[in-house]
Amino acid sequence: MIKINNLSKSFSHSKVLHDINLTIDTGETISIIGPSGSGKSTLLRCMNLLEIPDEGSINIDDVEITDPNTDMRLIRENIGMVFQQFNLFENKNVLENVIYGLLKVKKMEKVEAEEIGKNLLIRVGLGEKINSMPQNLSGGQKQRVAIARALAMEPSILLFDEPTSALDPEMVKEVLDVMKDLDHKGYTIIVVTHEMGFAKNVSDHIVFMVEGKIAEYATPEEFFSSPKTERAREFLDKMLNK
Amino acid sequence: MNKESKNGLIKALKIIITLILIVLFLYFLLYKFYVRYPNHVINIILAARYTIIISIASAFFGLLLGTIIALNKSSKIKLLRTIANFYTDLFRGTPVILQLSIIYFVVFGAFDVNLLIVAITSFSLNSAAYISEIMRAGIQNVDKGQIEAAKAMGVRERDIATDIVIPQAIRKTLPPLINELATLIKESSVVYIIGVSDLMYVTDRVTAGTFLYFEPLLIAGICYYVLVKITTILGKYVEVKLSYDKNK
Ligand SMILES: Nc1ncnc2c1ncn2[C@@H]1O[C@H](COP(=O)(O)OP(=O)(O)OP(=O)(O)O)[C@@H](O)[C@H]1O
Ligand SMILES: [Mg+2]
Repeated sequence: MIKINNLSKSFSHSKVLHDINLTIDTGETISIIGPSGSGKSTLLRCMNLLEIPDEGSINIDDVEITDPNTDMRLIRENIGMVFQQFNLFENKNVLENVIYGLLKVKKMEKVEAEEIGKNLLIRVGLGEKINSMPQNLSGGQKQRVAIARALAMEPSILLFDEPTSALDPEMVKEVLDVMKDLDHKGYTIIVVTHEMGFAKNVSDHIVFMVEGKIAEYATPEEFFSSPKTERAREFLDKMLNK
Repeated sequence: MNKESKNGLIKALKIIITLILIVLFLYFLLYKFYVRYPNHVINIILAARYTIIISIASAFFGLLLGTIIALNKSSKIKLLRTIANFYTDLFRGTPVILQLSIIYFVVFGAFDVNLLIVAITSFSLNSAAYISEIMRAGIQNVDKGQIEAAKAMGVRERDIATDIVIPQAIRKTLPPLINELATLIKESSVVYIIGVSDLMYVTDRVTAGTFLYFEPLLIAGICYYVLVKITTILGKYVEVKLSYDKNK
């Protein structure tokens, strides 16, 4: 369970997150949606301490990760993250990318790590590409490698920050399919997304953010059929009619 | 024979013919000198080994030290940043010949050390300053997203530096680093002032002994040119080898 209490975060002088409270149950899939600049990425990045909140706390299964004395690396090991720009290691091939964390963080033997890496790459449909360099892959393939890299660490939480926003439309599906496959596998999944179809069909709850606040928290059925706020109605109109 | 190999052959032939012409031309120019002083010619050419040793060793140690300095330039600790920047300023802001003299007469003044070691120390310290700037730019250009991805997995800062940042920085900085090696080959000629018998020193001796200037200087010039050319060709080769676009 992830429990976020009274979380606030500012950059220089502008307050980006205002007093956020949110509880996410273990095994849930959550979609965070909202207009650009509303603080979605910042909230997500607070959860693995890529951003350090100014106020409030985040607890993961009774461990307060925002406590300055906690070991950030131990916490991050348990949280996989997938970025909009893939962020694959350009000097490593596909398999090396996937097993890097196993070798360096989990100190696993290379043979064992490679076995795991190959299986994961087969699972995301890239068994043929284990020796390719990231530069020679399409965007969709890169993102699937990035997902395999996150899964390799066997995290219990997965964070996705707009995983399909940098992709050509024809590649969005292959990545979403891999993500859908992760639902109901025990992972707690938090996705910042503009894919309304995914948010509607896969997530257990929708977090709708506006100007650094959670404007709505609802099930997809509630949110998409009868949004409570004017902002949500406007947002949905824009997203669904484009 | 297909078109490609034919083109390749023509290219190779052109190069060979050009080389033969150059050799013939130089032979004609230097023939008389060689007949009179065969040993001098050989000595000048052999002296290039010191130039090579000094440049390569200095580039190597300069790269190690320069990388460390570059990492300190982005350190969280202000004192380390200040020291690293001051070091660079100091060595880039003073003439090499002065640095060499200070290291020879002052630093090593009281000890009886091998002159080669003095020369290598001096040029390593000097090139470290330049290389640290090259590496700093390279490190800054490594995509922040990759560093973040590694952090997000719980990788230690030190591992991120050695596995992700430095290898990519080296690849991006290879052209300017090769350039630095070429500079070292040329600039190391000042070691003749402390008496290391490198290319320039031996050439100087020959001109003094024979009262001939043109031929010895021409030979030295050819040696320097060939060394620098080999360096740049090797650089190109390594660059292609290191490029990630090729599948390993
Ligand atoms: N490192 C930073 N330094 C300064 N300001 C930042 C930083 N990161 C984000 N911001 C600002 O914080 C605000 C929220 O940014 P955030 O990236 O969280 O929004 P977002 O909802 O993810 O938007 P988008 O949909 O465009 O990705 C924006 O105004 C942004 O400019
Ligand atoms: Mg964002």
